[in-house]
Amino acid sequence: MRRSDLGEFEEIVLLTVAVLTPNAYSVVIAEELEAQTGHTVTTGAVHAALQRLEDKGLVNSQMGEATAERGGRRKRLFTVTVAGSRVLHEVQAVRDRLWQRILPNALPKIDLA
Amino acid sequence: MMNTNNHPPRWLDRLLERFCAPHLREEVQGDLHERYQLRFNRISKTKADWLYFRDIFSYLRPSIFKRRHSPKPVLTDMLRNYFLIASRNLTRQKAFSVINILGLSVGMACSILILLWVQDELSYDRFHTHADQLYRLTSHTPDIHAAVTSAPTAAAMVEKIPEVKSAVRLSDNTHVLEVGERKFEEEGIYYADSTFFDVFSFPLVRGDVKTALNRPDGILITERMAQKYFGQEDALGKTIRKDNQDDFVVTGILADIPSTSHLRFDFILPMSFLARTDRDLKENRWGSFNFYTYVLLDKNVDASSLARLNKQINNIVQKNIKLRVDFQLQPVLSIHLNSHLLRDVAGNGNIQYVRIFSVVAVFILVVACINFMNLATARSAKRAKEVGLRKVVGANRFQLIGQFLAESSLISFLSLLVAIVLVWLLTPFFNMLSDKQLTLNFLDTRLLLIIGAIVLTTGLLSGSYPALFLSRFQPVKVLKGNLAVENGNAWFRNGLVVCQFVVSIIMLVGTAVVYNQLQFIKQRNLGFDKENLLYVQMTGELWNKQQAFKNELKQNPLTQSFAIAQDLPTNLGTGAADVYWEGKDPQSQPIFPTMAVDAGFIDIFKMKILSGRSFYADSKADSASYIVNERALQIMGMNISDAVGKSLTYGGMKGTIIGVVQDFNFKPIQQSIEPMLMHLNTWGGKVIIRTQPNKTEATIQALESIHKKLNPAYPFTYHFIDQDLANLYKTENRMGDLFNAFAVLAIFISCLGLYGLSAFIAEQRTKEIGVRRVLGASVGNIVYLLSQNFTRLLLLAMIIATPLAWYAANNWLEGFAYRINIDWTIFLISCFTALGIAALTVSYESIKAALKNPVKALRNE
Repeated sequence: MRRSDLGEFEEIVLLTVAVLTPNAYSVVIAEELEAQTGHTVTTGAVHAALQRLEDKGLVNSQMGEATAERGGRRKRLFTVTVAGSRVLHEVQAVRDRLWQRILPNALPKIDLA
Repeated sequence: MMNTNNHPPRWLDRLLERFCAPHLREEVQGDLHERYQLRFNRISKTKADWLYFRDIFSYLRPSIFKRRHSPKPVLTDMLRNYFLIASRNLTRQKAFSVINILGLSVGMACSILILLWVQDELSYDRFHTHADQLYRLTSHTPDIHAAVTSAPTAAAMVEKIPEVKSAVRLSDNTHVLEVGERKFEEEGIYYADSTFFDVFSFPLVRGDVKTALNRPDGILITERMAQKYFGQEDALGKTIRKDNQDDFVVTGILADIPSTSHLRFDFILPMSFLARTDRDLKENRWGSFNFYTYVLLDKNVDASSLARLNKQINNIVQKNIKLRVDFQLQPVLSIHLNSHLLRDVAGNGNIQYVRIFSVVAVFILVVACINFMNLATARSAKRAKEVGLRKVVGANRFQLIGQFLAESSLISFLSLLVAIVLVWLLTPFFNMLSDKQLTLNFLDTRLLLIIGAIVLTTGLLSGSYPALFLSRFQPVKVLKGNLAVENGNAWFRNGLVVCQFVVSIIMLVGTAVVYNQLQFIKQRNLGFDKENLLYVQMTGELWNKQQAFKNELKQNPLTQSFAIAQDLPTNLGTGAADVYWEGKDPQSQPIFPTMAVDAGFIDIFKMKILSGRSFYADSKADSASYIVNERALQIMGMNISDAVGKSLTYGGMKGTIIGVVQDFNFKPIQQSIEPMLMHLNTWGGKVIIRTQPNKTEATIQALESIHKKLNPAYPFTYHFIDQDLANLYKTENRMGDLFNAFAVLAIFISCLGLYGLSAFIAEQRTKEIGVRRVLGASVGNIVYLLSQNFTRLLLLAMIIATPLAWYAANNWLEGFAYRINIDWTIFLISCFTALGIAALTVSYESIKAALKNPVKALRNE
């Protein structure tokens, strides 16, 4: 599996799965992303990304328990696989290396406060 | 937390349920509802509804629609089951299956062969580009209907009638053609106008259509003849010598004439060449009818304007001749099947036979279908349980009907495969019988469609009754084991058996009638003795050396009884209207066929002079003497006693009647005897020799040596009168043979079905027979018991078939002026043949059943 096959949205969904494990499923991931980014994230988009990640072998899933909000339906819970973990680490390593090579003053200053 | 208020819009839910694959529905719907709740609590209902809507649409993608393969049974599984059951049924009862498939395939093979034949008969002359605009001019008087017209008519029509686009005259001839060593007498020679290719579309392989017939010494030959005369060499531009004197240059090579052309020829010579010598052409004679005239009409001419054209043509011709003749344009497409005129081209078919055989084809197929229906309904009890069970587990009636129809279609298709093999095997034999070159061409879409239709109709027809009947069973009754359906069923089956035998008996009667009529033709006393007569055409120098020739003939005892005549009493094509006698009604215009004969003619043919005398040998005085037949006396109102000595004018020559000859047939016996006028032969013709019995070979040799001596330049050919006569009835004989073959097949198929049925009934009544045997019934009793039902059915079939067969046979015989009477013996023989064959068929199984040891039949319950 080549890393370039991992889209930006997929990457962030994968990362969120890792964050929310052991309780990662479409709704909470979508809510979390909405909270983090401030944009509306549809459940369907997240579900699609999860399906693709599962196809690529980066996440695993099994059915979880049912709740009343879901009308008694079960949820599908996702966990990151070894391959998924490796991909996340690689992505992070690449970014870290790149961040470290940015010269001071190379980026325009932004007021982060 | 959950209440009805915070439920998402139901229609969106339903939409989701519709498109979402079932295995994903739980998690997806769960996710959506959970999120809806979150949003509902967090924001407002409207906002939540809107976001729910957006969410639903975010799921619109293939991975959500795609259904996982379902393990539930689907249509194909049921079909597979149908096939399985069908093949099990076929293999379990092999005998019945063989009877079914064999019967159906023989029936189909017959139908396909007949179809090929009919299609061929109907396709005559359609290859011409303007086939539906082509017509032939025919001439009619009350007595005579002829295919020929006079020489100037063609040109006059083109000139005066704008609708006539083009016209061509044809005249057939026999010549001796010669290229180097190769020298043959050729019959397929037509003289034709240069407009030949404007009218007809016979393709020219070499040469130019526009100029091919322009030069008077040009000749067109077919590829076949190019091969025959020139072998591998290129024939174009080569020379062919005709009758030892005229040289012709090959100006074109025609593709071989299609077998579906009513005109059959191998050579075309220019009419301009004939015009140098032919008196009709030189003098533009209107009154002499010797040419075929074909015209190409404008494409706007329809049936109504055709009558107007006929009138115009009649007006043109009537100005030029005194005769009352009615001219009619005859569509070329109808010539092959509908034209039986005087001097018509040889080898025409007959629409009646096309109809008869089409009916026969349908009959045979129906008989074969009946077999199938009969056996299927008879065996229905065996499948009743299956039907019951299928209904119990939910099959509805239409599914069952579908199943049985599909099964019969399957069998019908299997039969087709066997039938195609049969057709392939039988085609050479069939072609021999029918004198055609038929092949099963799978690239012919129309043929394929018709065959497909035959298969489908056969399948549906033969499956229809069993399907409707079997699907009606009530599951409770059949599963309980008592089938009280036998009665109505038996009625139906009996009806079908009667139908089959009606067809068989009609075919048998037909065969007998055709055979008897053909025998009648063969044995009929024609008024002369046709045996041991052979004749030679007097070609080349023979007529000029006639004295020497006659002397040579007289010297040899083998050839000494001879006559020289222009005409033969086989298929006479002459007819004269200019015959006058004292007291002739000026309004009447009887046509007298004429024969130019010599002194020996009447003796040689063993005709009978009723009063007066024959011509005197070498008598110049008899040049104005006439001999007439009895029919002519009737027409002229004379008696045998006083006719001799009366004056008679023919062709402007006033003379006397010197003798009356007994009526004899000089045309095919479809036509009755017409008035005949014989006059003295002053020109060549044919020399006819009566050979002594068993000395035919020697006579031919003697004749050949005389011929070689006097006429060395011409090849020697001879013919037999009785063979010529037999050839006249070739079509009838051929039809007789075909009819025989199909009658045998129809009876074979019927018996096949009857055999199956009797075997089934014998099997069904095994126990009953066993009990009867134990109680003392003899084998005879049992056989009687099993056969009596069939005998009753056959008697009924006889009663129905007899009038139908009589009607059909009479209809056919009507076409003959001299015919047999259908007497009751024919019916009796046919009926008893049918009865005998049926009895043999049924008795085999009956006797087998009766002879079986009753212990075996009763042993197990």
